[in-house]
Order: sequence, then C-alpha cells, then structure tokens
Amino acid sequence: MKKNKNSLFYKLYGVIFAAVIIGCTFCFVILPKNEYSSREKRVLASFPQLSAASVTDGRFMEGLEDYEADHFPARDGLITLKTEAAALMGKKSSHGIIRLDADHLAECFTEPGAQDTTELTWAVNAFATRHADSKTYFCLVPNAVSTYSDRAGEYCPGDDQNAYIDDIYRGLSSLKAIDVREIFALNKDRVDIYYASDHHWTSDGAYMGFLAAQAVMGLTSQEYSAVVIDNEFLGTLSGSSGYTLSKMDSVKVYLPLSQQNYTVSYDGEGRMAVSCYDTTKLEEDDKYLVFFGGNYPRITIKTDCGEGRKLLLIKDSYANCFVPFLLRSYEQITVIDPRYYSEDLDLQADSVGYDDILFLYNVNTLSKDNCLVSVLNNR
Amino acid sequence: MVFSGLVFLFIFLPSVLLVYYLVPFKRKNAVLAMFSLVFYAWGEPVYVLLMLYSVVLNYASALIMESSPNKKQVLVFNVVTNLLILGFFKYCGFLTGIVRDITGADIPELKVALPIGISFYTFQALSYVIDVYRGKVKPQRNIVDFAAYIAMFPQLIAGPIVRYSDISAQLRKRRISLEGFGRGSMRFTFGLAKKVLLANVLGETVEMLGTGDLTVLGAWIAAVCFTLQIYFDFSGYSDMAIGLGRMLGFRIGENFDHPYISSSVTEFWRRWHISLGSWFREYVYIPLGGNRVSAAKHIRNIMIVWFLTGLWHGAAWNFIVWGLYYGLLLLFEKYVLSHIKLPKAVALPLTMLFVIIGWVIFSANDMASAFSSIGAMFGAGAAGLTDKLSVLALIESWKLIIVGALFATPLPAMLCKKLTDNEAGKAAVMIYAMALLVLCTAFMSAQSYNPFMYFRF
Repeated sequence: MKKNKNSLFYKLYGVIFAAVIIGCTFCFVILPKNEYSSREKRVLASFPQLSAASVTDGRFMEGLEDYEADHFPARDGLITLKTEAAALMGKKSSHGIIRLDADHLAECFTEPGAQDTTELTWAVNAFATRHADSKTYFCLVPNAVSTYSDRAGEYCPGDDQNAYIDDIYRGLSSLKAIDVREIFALNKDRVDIYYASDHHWTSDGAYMGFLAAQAVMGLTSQEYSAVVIDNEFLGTLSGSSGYTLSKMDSVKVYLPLSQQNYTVSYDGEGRMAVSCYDTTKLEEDDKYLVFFGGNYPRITIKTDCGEGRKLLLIKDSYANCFVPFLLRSYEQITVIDPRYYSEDLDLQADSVGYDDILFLYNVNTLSKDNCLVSVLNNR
Repeated sequence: MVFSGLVFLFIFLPSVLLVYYLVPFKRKNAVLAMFSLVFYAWGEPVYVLLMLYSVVLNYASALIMESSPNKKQVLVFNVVTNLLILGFFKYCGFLTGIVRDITGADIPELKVALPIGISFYTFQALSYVIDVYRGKVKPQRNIVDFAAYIAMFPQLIAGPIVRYSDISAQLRKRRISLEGFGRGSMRFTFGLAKKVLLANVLGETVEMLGTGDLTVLGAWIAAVCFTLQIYFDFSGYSDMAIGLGRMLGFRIGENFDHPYISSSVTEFWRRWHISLGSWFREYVYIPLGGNRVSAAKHIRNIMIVWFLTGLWHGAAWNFIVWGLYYGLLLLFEKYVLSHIKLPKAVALPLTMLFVIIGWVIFSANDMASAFSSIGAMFGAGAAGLTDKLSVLALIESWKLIIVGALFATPLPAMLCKKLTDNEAGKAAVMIYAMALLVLCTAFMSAQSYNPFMYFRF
C-alpha cells in the first residue's frame, strides 16, 4: 500500500518533468525571436549557419548553445531570478556590477596592468608636449563604486579607483589635472551623481564636474534651470547585471536661463543641429542618447559666445552631458571620441590651433580602452 | 554535450525521450546508440570516428576471442591497442615533455586534443573484453546493442564506469515504466542542482581566489570550496547519469556514497568514485595478487594501483603525486593505524584534512603551485593571514560552504525519504524538486560560468 502511494508520487513528478522539458523546448522552438535585447542593449545571437564545415569544427554546436541561451522563453525573468538567487547565496556582484543599496547599482573596477597605465600617460604627455601652445587638462571622473565607496562597503569586489586616479595624475606631468573627487565628496549625499541603473553620471554629476573644471580652466559660468525630461530610464547596469531596481531613473538637462545660439555639426555625416539634445532618443531604451544622440567620431560646435577661445575635447561618453556647460566659454569646440575616430589628431590640433585641450574620461572606460593610446600615437 | 546546458535539457533530452518511448522495444537500443553518437559528436565531431573504431575493435575482439584457440593473444592485442589509443590521445604530450626534460632533446611538443570521456569508455571496453576472456560474460553478437553499451550517453563522458557484466542482461531486457521515469527524473533534477547551483557557484569562488599570493584564509577557502565543488560536480554528474539511465530503463550502480563522512582514507575510497575503485580492484589489484601476498608485494601492488589511479585522472605530475599520496596514506592506515583505534571525533576531521590536502594537489596547475598553496594554508609563504580578497571570498562563500557541507552528508536524503511517508511531505518534496528545476534553468540561461571538470580525465 505504502509503495503504491510513493509510486504515484514519482509518476506525477515524471509527468511534470517531461512536461517542463518538452514544453520549454516547444516554446523555445515556436515563439518569435527578438533580434535585439533592449534590456541588455546588445544584438542577440542569430541561428548558427548549418554546414558541413561548421558542424565538423563545432561552430554550429557552440552557436546553437548561444542561440538557445539568448532566446530561451522568459529569459529576462530567468536572468533576474538567477541574479537574485545568487545574491541570496552571498554573491556580491553580478557580471562585475554590485548593488550599492536597494536602489543604486555600480560597476566594479579592475585595475589595468602598470604597463598599460605607463603607456597611456606617456602617450598623453607626448601629445601635450607636441601641442605646447595649447593648455592641456585632464579630467578623470571616478565611477559610482568609488564615489559611493561608503555604500559599496569595505569588501566590495574589484580594485580601488582612487589609487588608479592618483597614479594617472602623477604620471601626467605636462598636464593640469582637474580633480572632481573633492566636490563629489561634498555633494554625493545631496544629489545623485550617477544614474542608479546606468554607468553614466547624471547632469547633476556633470555640473559638479563643470564646477571643478571651472576653477582650473577659468570657464564662464551662468545660471541654469534643471528640467526633468524623462522619468523612465533603465540603464545598462540593470540590464546586464539582472538586478532589479524599485524605481526607474529620471533624466535631467540643465537649460541656461539666457538664450544662446550655436550649431552642432556631425562631421563625416554631413548633418547639422542647433541643439545638444536629440529628444527623439527619449523614445528609445537608452535615454542617455538624448545628449548629442550618442557618440560620434568628431562633432564641431560653433557658438556665438564671442570669447574667441577654441577647445579640443578628447572624451568618452561621460562628456556628452558635460559639453552643454562649456558653450559660454568657447567659440568653437571640437569633440573627438577616439573609439570611433580614425583620422590624424595632430593634424586636427595643428590646423585649428586650440587654446585648450581637455581629456575627459571616466575611470572604467579609460582603464579598459586602448583606442585613446592608438589615436594619440598615430602621428 | 554537457548535461548542465540548455541544449541538452531543452532540445536533446526531449528528442531522445520522445523517439525512445515511441519506438518498439527492439528498436530502443538502436535509438540510444544513435543519439549517443550525436551526443558525443556534439563536443567532438571528429572523434566520433574514434568512438566508432573503439566499438568495432572491441566488438570484433570479443567475437574472435570466442572462436580462436589463441584467446590470450587476442586479449593482449586488444588491451594493448586500447591502451595505445588512450595513451596516444591522453599521455603523448606528457611523455614527450618528460623525454625532452630528461634528454634535453629538441622534440616538438605533441599536443592532441583529448577526446572527451576516452578514459571512461576505454575502461568500459576493457572490462568487456577481459570479462569475455575470463568467460564471465558471453560476447555480444549484436553490434547495435554493443554500441549502445559503449557509447551510452548518460555515463559516456563522466562515468560511472559501467561494467558490461552489470548491464548485459539489461541490454536485452529492461523494465521501462512511468514510475522508473519519475524516479530517474527526480534523481536527475537533484544531480543537476548539485552541479549548477552548488558546484558551479563554489567554483566561482575558487576561480576568484586564483592560486598566486594566497593568504592563509584565502588558501583555506580555496581548498574547502574546491573540495565541495569537485564532490558536487562529480557526484552531481553521476546522479544525472544514474537518473538518465533510469529514465531509459537502465539501473546503473551507485558511484558515490557520501565520501566526506568517512573516518579513514580507506573508507573514503570505498565511498568516492566507487566504479573506478572497483574497476582497478577487479582488473589490476586482484590480478597482481591483491593482499594475499607478502607484505612487500602488497605494498608494491597498492602503489601500482594508486600510481595508475593518479595517472588515469590526468597526464600531469600532480595527478601522479596525488595518486601516490593516497597509496601511501592507505598503506599507513593498513600497517600502522590499524593497531590504534582513533575516536570518530578525531578520525573524521583528520580524514577530511588529508582529503582536502589531496584536492589541493589535484587541482593545482603543477607541483610547485600545489606546494605553495599547501604552504599558504599553514602559514608558510602566505601573503599574510587575510586580505580584502580572501575576506570577500569568505563573505561570498560561507553560506554555500555550510549548505554544501550539509548536503555532503546523508541527512538531506534521509529527510527526503522521511518526508515522502506522508502526503504533506510529498507535496513539499515535489515543490522542492520543481523549484530546483526552475532555478537550474535560470542559472543555465544566465550561463556565465559552466566549466566542465573532466576534460583532463
């Protein structure tokens, strides 16, 4: 009698197990596939090419594993489940991203090798020396994991950004450093310097950065009114970690109180605009694209500020929401993103004759990126 | 293909099961053999030819042996060929390296990709031909049935090593029932959870700590996490194999019996990788005379078996040292400790200590790093007592270490058994198994880390 009862129990589990694996397989095969994951902001794997060659060398099999992982039914929910379960088990980070608190995520930092750091400072120093007529500045912005290290805790995964920033500044003998850390420390509990779900700094953070730069570079300040233009931003940190947040980010822009005219020319695209903001991007998932519509190899901005000064800005995406603060100080700003730029930067600098050159990077991009060094060294 | 991947669980397995259950019984072995070859080809498309060769070689050897007056020559030829194939693919690089180190000759290093599971299926094949030679089993006349035995995907790549004599009757006749399927799928689910939820996650801590510049705390956490990782990885794989076998109607013998509750190293090896231990006992140790010989010969026999056991695990010095280490420990227990009766409270932790040190040797890249890790555990050459990384590793892993230690004992299985005595308990076990299945699927979908520990075997 007892045995019969257990038999029913196992039979039932057998049916459930078969239903789960057959059901999931069936759903995986018939459900429509997305080509793009808006949550992770990446193109998902496509079905691997089936040929004798791709089967023989195993590419087909690997491709199918990736394809199934990328298109599995209820994938986003499963990834969130995994991340939260792993966090319960004790994992402090997921794909290099940690929770600062219930509502804020941050990307961990891995210090690059000493040789990479030396190569970088050497290339920047050499560029500054070659363009000694211009004043060269370097602003290296720490990431949330460093600025909010008190929230990240003593045993946060990854390395210390402060030591890296100090190393870089110490290595940049021919440049003036713009250190934002002090102003960040003073204001970090008053304003959100970074988006809770994204790796970028907010416009509030960029404004702090501007105040720090103003003191060093002698920039012109003006009055702004900060306006929230979007309340539904879920950034890349949330998507790629799988951590869920209780609320979404809002995107703010700082609008000057006095009107100013300028043109933005996307070089190489033959496109002009009269604003730093591309509000059509607010329809997309990555709302940070609202600043200049994203990253471009070279953007030239001409203003009517009448100061006559010219700036060469070599930057990563942190600069996109920072540039609007510079419009009162320069008549011409050339914005170069070395990750997409393939022309001769020395030629660019020599032909225009810039008063100032500013490098603006966040630590995580600078430490992982090698495009800057190659662009600078390409004489 | 590995069991702990989406393609296995959500394409391959449903396909096998559907076809296997739909065809009449006499076709089932053919279906099993065919799908097994696909399974093998998944990771090693070219080596499927080697697998087919092995099937034909051993199938033919046994038949020839039956009718030939020179049984012994056929056996020797077969065993040598099998071992040469294994030797070529597994030990060639290692041997040329040794020759180069000794002679200083400029021999190019021969690097051949190791066919997955070759150590397992070669040993299965050897058990077959030797048993046919000994007259213990009749040779298999149906090559499809024989291929189903050699290539059987549940235990193909990580064991258990199923001896032909244990399964020959089942190849002809086995009971396939829904209850058996259910028992098998529950066993599979628990095995999958061991691999995906415990072994893989513990492995992340081992990987994070690395091997260089370990602190005392870091070295211990790495050693303990690896000890648990390899148990849950390997025994989880065996559970999955046994469960899959059961789903297909096969009864495969147990491979692990809670080795970490052993009170002696001898007991540990009775509980760890049982099918390998019994293979070596049956085909090496006893033919050498076992323990019914003089003490000197017995010591020789033990050391030969454990040298081979170490070497079987991988073509590197640390595996050999690891094997000999166990040989010495077993001899010490046999000849010295047998006169002293240690209380369990001492014997159990002491055994675990030796097992953990064994795993440090086993997991190291080479002997130098094995020594430095063991040294670091006891403070010699350690980079301090603790540092940020080792404290972080502790914070991240302590819960899993406790859960893992608990699941290494028979307690969870006992609890499960007790619960199925009443209806509420059954519901709890059912929900628990389903939750594990969902959680494993989630971990496999997020596929950040799914190493396969047996590539070197």
